[in-house]
Amino acid sequence: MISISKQFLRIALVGSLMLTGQACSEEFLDKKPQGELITEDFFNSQEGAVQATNAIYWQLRQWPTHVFAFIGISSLTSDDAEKGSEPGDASFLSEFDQFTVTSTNGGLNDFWNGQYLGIAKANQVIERVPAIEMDETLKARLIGEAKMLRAYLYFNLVRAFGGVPLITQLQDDNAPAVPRASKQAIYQQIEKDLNDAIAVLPEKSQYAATELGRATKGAAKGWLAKVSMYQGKWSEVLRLTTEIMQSGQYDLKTPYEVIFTEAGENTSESLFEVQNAALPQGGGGSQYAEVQSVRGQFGWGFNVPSEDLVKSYEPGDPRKAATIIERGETMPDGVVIIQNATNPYYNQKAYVAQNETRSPNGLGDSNKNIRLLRYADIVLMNAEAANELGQSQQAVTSLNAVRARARGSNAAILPNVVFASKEQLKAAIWKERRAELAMEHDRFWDLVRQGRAGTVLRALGKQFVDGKNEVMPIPQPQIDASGGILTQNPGY
Amino acid sequence: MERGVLGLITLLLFTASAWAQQRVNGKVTAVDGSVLPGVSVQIKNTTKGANTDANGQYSIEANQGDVLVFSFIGMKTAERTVSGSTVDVQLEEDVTTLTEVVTVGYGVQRKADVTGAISTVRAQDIASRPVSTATQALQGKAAGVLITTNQGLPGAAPNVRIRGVGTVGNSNPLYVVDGMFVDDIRFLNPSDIQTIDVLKDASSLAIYGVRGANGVVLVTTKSGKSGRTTFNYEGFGGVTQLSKKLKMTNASEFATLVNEVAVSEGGQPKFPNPASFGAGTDWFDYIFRNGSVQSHQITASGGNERVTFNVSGSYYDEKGIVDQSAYSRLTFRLNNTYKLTGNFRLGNNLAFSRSQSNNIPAGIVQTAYNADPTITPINANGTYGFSSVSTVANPAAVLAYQTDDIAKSGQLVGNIYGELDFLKSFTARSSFGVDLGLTNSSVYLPQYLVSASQRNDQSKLTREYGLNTTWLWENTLTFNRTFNKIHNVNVLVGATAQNSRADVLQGIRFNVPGYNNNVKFLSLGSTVGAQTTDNPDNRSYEFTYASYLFRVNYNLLDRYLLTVSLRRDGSSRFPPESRWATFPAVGLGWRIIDEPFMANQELFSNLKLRASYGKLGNTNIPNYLYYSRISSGLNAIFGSGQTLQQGATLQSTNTSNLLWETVTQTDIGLEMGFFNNRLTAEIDYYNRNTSDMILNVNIGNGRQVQANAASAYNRGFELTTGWNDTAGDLKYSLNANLTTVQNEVTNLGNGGIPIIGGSLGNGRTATLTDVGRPIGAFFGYNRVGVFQSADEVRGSAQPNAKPGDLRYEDVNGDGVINGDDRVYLGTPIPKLFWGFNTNFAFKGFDLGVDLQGSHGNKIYNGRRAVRFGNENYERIALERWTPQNPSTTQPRLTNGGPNYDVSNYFIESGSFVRIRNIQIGYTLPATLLRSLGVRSIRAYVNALNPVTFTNYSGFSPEVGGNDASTLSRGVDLDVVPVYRTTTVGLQIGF
Repeated sequence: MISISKQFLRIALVGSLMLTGQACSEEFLDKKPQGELITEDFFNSQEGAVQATNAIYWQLRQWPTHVFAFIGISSLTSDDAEKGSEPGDASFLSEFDQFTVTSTNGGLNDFWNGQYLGIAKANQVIERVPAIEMDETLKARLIGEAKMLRAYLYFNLVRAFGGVPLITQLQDDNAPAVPRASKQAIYQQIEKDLNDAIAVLPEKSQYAATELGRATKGAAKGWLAKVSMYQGKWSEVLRLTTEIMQSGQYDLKTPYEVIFTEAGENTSESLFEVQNAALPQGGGGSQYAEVQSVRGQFGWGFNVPSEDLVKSYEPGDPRKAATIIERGETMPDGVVIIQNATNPYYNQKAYVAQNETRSPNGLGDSNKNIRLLRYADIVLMNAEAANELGQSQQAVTSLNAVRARARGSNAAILPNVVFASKEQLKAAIWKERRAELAMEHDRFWDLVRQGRAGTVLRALGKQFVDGKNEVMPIPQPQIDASGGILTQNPGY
Repeated sequence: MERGVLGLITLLLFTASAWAQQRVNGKVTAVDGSVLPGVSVQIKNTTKGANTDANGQYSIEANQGDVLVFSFIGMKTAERTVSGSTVDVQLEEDVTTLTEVVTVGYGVQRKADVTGAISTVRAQDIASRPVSTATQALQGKAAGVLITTNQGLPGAAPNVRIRGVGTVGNSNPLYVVDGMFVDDIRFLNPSDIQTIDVLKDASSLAIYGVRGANGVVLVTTKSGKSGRTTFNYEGFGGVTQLSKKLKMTNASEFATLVNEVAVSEGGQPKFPNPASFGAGTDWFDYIFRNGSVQSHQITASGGNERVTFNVSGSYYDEKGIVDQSAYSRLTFRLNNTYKLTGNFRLGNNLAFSRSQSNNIPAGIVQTAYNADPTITPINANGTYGFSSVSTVANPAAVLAYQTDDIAKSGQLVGNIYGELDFLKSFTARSSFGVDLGLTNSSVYLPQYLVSASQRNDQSKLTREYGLNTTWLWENTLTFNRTFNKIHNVNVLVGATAQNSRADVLQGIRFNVPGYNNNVKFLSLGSTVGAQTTDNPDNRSYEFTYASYLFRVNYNLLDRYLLTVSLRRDGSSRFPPESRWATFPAVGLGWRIIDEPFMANQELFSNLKLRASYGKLGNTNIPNYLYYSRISSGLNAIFGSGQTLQQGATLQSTNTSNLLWETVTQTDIGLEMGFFNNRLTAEIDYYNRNTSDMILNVNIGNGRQVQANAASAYNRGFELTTGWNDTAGDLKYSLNANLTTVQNEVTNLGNGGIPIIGGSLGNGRTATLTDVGRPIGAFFGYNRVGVFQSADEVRGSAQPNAKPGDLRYEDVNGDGVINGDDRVYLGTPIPKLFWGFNTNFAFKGFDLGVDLQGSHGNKIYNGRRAVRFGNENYERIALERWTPQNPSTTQPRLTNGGPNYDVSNYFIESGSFVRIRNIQIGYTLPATLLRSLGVRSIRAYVNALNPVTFTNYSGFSPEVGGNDASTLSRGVDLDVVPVYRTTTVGLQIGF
């Protein structure tokens, strides 16, 4: 009996030692990330919800989303701008200017990724924040912000490529590639997101001063108006723009030449702009201004106004001087542009004055906010929609409001437009859009919307092919990564 | 006690045969004069024998005319006929006979008993090479081991691939230095190394389990031998030089070409008078220099019966061929063994090293390649010139402003072990090893202004401190016994645990005064607006392994060999449900030469067949992959005051469910010896299949995921052959090794979508990894000519082309050139590589010549293929297509566009044959030295990489690609070329 129990004791002892050893080794092998947040903890707090939303805004400041390729696709393609810089520098941008772009153009892929990386960040918020226990008003607002930003990014994609993969949910590592949705399906999603955002977002004035720059009800309405205009939904455009104009949030009181200076950031003119800051320690800006700054003096000198744009202004229009930098010009801050600057003109809307704040990282990290939607655009959309719907009085009023601000105190220029016919008024509004919104990433897509891109651009000697060049080719690396599930646009 | 037994035996022997025998004494020494204890002394054809004592002395009763056989592991067996009462013997080290031992995982084995494929490289094969790390000296020395120098920078680690490229992830082998696991052996002084054994097949690797898939390099450092204390000094010094300079267009040619491009793009000529520039600046002359290298080391070695020691100190200093690049290293080593009692031993192998690297900006060579030759490096007034036509930086200013970049490290690597023999057949061993590393770096960027695009507005200091701690505790038990005289059994069981942790603290400050190094500290910089990114960066990671080992070596009749090994590993890098895995292997061997039926043949002096099969793993992946982690620092700006608000989110996708990457390997080997082993040959066939390959997959929309996404095999033959002989006073050896590799992807996860790689940095990618092709194969258009006229363009699939543009093959004939027309353009992995190493010794002179070759691989000449605007051209651009000089091979000049699409226009052969090393030495005669009290003096001249034969137009055909991406192998973007080193050296022994 004793020997059996001794035996048992021995076995138990050895067994428990082994178990302890086993337990120890499992614990020994469990190593948690150090100094890094884990998703399940992060997306379980209000702080996480706010930070995840902020990350979408971070993406908007980045190079692939809103700098080089964005400028190539949205601006160089237009009759307003040319590549600029040295003839040989960044030749891939010339392909946008000349409509010789092919699917292997590196800028295309950059742009595509830049938009989708923002969409993925918005999806994180839209999918994960609802489950977080937190202030419900703040929660709704953050989701609304994410939806507005997602809609904006899809709007960029649909304008650049037509139908693209519609990704509105979190994706698994091994989820199969998503095929292209139709252009209509993308527009439907954009409208749904914007309507959701409009329902919950506060007006600009309802935000605390420290939160200035976030998505607002007005901005969401403004984007919805623009999206509606691209689809010819004129009564929607009219309704939305009227609501914005009556909201009391915005006006045309900011002098035109101030709008694009540091003092003009986030004024009553502004519906939405990408917030950049020249922080004392750097890291708060973008390279948007540097790539467009005067070559040989400040920056790289890309995206320069074309001779055609320079000639297009009405006599005496002060917006010309506020938009275009010329060689030898004395800038408002007293700086004289060098006579031997590489290009005859530069984009003044990207000019950073010497008295503005500077980052230790230089102009590559500049304070210049990227204006994406401003009030004059809303008023001109209102004019165009009213004209389309036969409300010519409203159309003329809105159009002339924009001209009046541009005119300033000089009664001798930019006379009021008088209604003659719907077609003439439409032409006047289109012309006004060009003058008012020049170099603001609107013109090329506006020409495509108006159905006259080919006519206008071929007249300038560009190799624009109707039925092809309205959209860009799908980037080859994306087709490759999808295993050929993404199809190429016609003609490429 | 041993002496007592010996005495007793001697007494017995003496009693039995006193009538005819007498005592014979003697001393056994090695060639270097050290005494050899434990040498077996046997009278031939009898069982009578003795061993040498700690002083190498033996004593035996023998008849005059008897033949004494002296044998010792690692030495050539010697026979002496007894004549007189004293027989002294000097044993020569043996590298080819059956008594050769090799280091295997957790032990040593006679080579004859090994069932695995192991290449051994000995100290003398890599001695006196002017290299900072032993892996460089290994190039071309071992079959199956492909070593590529990535960067010709002092102190840079070469890329090592064993038996092909097994994974697109981290394919680096595991290094085991005296039992301690390390990632890198740059901390080692190459002269401290006794042998390097490269384990290549499953039978030898399975004992390293999940760390074994990429091969294991076992490094054994020198230990002391009992006997006289010896001192050795070796020093060398010499120069390093760029072996090949690329020829670029000079200033006036460049200006002409820039004008031509500007006009063809619709602009105005940039330079009114190109001829006025003359030759201009040769930027390579500006950034390259003749570097220097020097090394000194001293070793003391010796011991007695109970204690042995080997102590060394070394200093290595190299100034690189790129101006300002430098590396220096100080090492100390202390290896001891202590015999505490008859059955208990302690030992330690400890190495300390301190190194400093002066880093140069990445891409400086490419900057010089691209730089505008029309500008003056430094103007008379001290300012730097800058280009009016391109944004390429002025390399002189880069060297002046961006080279205050120093990385220092201190590292202690070593282990302490104890061994206890008990119950006759058992040995228990416990080894505790550490790898402690301290790193600190300081990068200071002054405020400067060269041009609008080359400027830094505020001075910036970055300092980083790192602490790396690894400990490895290994406990093994070995059982070794022979049963019934014919069953030799050796069993190993063990348990090990490893913990590695790294901590990094980094800080950045602006406006730090920079007038000397005493003020380059963060506290002197500005801390304005203490905001988020001003906070120090503080990171840490930790990983662990727990493992159990088991191995049986069974040997029947000394002819039939069986090895079964198994390792079970658990790693913190994998989620709990797939954390543990078992890696088994079996090896079989047949020593045919020892079969009775071979007794009467004369042809073979060795013949052995072996085969192995098993499974190995790879865990060279980042830590914590299975945790879904948040990326921080994605900060946004808000508010009327435009302040920073913290942002963070999940940037990757969902949690990764990774499994172990597994390699299944088959090996069949035949070892042969002829003419009394003067000629030896070893042939292996290997077949390595990697499955569940872990790789970073681009899944579109800017997202990358780590996934078990591919399978591939590497197959081929390895041949090692040698001829060692003497002819009169001439001793010589000729050794060759040759390896073939066939690499092919067999399966792709991720829905079979091929993997894009080889990013050129301009949005284009040069490689595509697809089923049926090698990993990282080049993929692009097939160039079929150059458009000669607008007419040719009109009828073609490239309607936007201009005359002079490259014409690509419309492979699918759909009338459009697009992604569907890309084809396979070759592999970056050599199909065949070889080494041929020779040694000759004649009287005091010796000569060693090493050759090396690589064939069948392609290089993508990314230097030429990437242009952003008005970079300088290689001279081949002068042969461009122009309307006046229509070329059929060279396109017209452009700065971008379809001529720069990935195509075979930029693909070149990467084959080369290189004289890797030549060494000529002279050893002073011993008679001369004895009077000086010096044991040996040898002086030598060495040339490393003196000549390379290749058709590749770039600096050097050694384009390894970096470790970060196997998919970029063979893409020559900004590699700093391999260089030529010429040294003279001196070795003195006391």
